Amino acid sequence: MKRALTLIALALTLLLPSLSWAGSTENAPRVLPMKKVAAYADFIQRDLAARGANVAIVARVGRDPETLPGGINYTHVAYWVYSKITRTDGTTYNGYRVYNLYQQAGDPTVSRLVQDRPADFFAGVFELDAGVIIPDSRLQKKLLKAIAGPAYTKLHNANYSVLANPMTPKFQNCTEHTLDVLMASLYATDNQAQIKANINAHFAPQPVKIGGLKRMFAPATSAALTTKDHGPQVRTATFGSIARFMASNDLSDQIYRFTEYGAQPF
Amino acid sequence: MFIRSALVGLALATTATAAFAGPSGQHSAEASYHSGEAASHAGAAVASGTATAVAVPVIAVGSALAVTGSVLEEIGTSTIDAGADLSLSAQPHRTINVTVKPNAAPTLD
Repeated sequence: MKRALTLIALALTLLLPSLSWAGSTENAPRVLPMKKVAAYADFIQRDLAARGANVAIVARVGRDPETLPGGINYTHVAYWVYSKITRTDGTTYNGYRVYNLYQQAGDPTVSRLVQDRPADFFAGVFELDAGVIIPDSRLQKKLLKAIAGPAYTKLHNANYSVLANPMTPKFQNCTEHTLDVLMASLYATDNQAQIKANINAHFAPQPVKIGGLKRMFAPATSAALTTKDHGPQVRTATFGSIARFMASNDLSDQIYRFTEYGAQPF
Repeated sequence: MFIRSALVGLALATTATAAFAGPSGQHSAEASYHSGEAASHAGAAVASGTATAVAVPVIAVGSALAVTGSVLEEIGTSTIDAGADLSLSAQPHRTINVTVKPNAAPTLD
């Protein structure tokens, strides 16, 4: 009995540092000064506009990269859409709106779709390092249609899992929703079964190395860490796996990192 | 010794869980730089309280774009950004079997 309890305690102790990477929280604790984050948000917006991007896929670093599993560099992904925005006082400006899937406050196993601003998106980042994909201009038109239409919300699955398996519709996280909307745009369909069939056929998710004990006890620490939608191997959608998918199918125009010093190649 | 080890382990695990989950409010008072806007989009249902504005995608792919708004301009001028919930009432999807035949690999040509 003692051994069993010790084992459980040890497993729980070792469990989360490597699994805490992917939460799509909309209100992470502030790490960087807000003025610095806001300036960075403006910087990346102006850079995207200068590149003529109506739609971009942007990823942020919400955790210390040292704690992220191998092959995973970013913790949250969303579409940025160039928009004409009307303030509450009636004045307008042009800028980007961010289309997020966030975990619900108070219940990390449930998600919701939330629009916010670039500064909100970066508010809780660990460092000013964004992954950026600017889709091919033809794909941007298709994405605009999907995001502005019913497909964007129809493809939302509120059952949230940090390590959601993109091959199945059981759970979804921010990156999987991004992928689902991408597939909806490419194939002009919002049929979930068709989208999942195409993901199974053409998309290679990121394998995540997770030990048997960690996997077994993960749901005990947070239900959002379930892996019951996976087989023996855990694989999930990531910014990197989406970037590879788009690059290998000639769907992207530009893929790069954007730091406080500007754009850099990966 | 055993009890001490078990307690330390459980305490660490609990701490890590909290770090994962994060606080529950959308943005605390320190995020006062946010404007009071909350956007709706393309007819989607929006629950955003009293501060409601509109964001409409600009369909001008391929042309030069310019950002005319600045977060820095608005630092300290407002108190909230409630966000814009596009699907607060989204229902969990039912599990379906993927038995559909896939299309060909995606192409834009």
